[in-house]
Amino acid sequence: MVLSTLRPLLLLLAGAVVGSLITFGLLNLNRNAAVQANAAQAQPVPPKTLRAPSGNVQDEDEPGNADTVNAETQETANLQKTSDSTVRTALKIAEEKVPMRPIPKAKMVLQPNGLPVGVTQDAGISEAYQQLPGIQPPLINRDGRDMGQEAIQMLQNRQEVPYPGGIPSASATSMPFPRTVEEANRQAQGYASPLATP
Amino acid sequence: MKSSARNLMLAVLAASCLCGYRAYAGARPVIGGIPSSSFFDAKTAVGNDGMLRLIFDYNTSKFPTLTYGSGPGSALWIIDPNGSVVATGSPTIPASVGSDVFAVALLNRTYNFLNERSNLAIFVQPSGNTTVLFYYNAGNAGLGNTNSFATWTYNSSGALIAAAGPYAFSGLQLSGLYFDPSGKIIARWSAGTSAASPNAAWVLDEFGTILNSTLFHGPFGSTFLGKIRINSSNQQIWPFISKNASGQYTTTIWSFDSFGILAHAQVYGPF
Repeated sequence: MVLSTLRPLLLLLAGAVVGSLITFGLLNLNRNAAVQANAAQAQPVPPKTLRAPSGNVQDEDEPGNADTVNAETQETANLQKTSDSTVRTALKIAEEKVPMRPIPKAKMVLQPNGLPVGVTQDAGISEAYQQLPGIQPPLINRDGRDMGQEAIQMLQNRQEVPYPGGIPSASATSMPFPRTVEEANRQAQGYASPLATP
Repeated sequence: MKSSARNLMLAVLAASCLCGYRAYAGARPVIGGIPSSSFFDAKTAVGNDGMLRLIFDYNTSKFPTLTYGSGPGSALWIIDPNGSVVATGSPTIPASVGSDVFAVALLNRTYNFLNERSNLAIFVQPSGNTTVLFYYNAGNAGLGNTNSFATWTYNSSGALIAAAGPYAFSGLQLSGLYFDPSGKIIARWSAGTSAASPNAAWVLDEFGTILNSTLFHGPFGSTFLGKIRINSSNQQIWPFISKNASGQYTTTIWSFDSFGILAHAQVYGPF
């Protein structure tokens, strides 16, 4: 008796649950498709602006803030195309409240001695190069110039050269482990050229 | 009662002798380690200034398509404790340094890093400079085919202030390349790929300056070189291990002077 009374109510509830699930699934599918499309369009470039921490909100009218556009804002704009109006509204509000600010670029600051910050007087200088003829010491920025292109060219210009003083053969016969320092140094000197001998 | 106490004491004595013998006979120096530990670590580091250094790898597509090489490369960011970016590195690191997707086997399990990672490691120096160490042809084994390296140094403002290398020598492999805890770089060159191949090593500072280099030592057959360390005077310390026919280990410690000349050798064991 009780069951027959509740049956319509149970059917109604079940229908509501199924309907909710279908609606949720459709919305989720739609959102995933939009995000995937955005991901495919995203450019693999460094972001040029940064979202300011919420505790450090800048004045929206501050020059430069309003016109700042970057990959992240582009992505945000794309997200707004989703059919979910709630998300769209929330994003819009968040964007208005948390403006973008430019990412600071590297600055070349000089010390009182004229060297860039971080460079010491003896940077790149070592007696070890006397034992390694032909090996160049590092390129040190001593005048504050932009040495980006030089450094990139160096990185890409990889050339194998003979090791100063020569190297032991990979198939060299094993030698007894030296018992004394003198013996070890004598063995090692056998590989070294006169130039490489300290 | 007296008999029980005696039996108990005898049992304790027997157990202590047995355990003592086992510990004594099994003494083996633990001198090996990951020869490219810095490479596998996270590309983040905090300096004495409290700033976080972080490397962004820009990938043009996701795993398994390896497209880092055609992308813009990697960038260094310097972030303060509040999360604000205070500087970015200039120039951007070119993608030509290469990248790899690799796996690490540990305790019979293999951990895959699902995204490719640029072939570099970073260290924040006490000076505030950030040294970037480039591993050429690192491969999925970390140092599988690495036969050359280079360094860049950014200052605390993100400006590039030094560049060194690439160092590449015919017939030589890098069997060790990592940052020492002091920030110095240790590069171990091997003439061959065997564990017993002859070795020489360099110590480099934060600018990539070679501070000292040793001559080649070896090959020494079944005596193997462990991980090279340096002390505060940049003196290299080489630990060797060898095993005799009885399965006992001998430990030898070599200490070089600050010019890279072997100065002391001390032998311990077999125990």
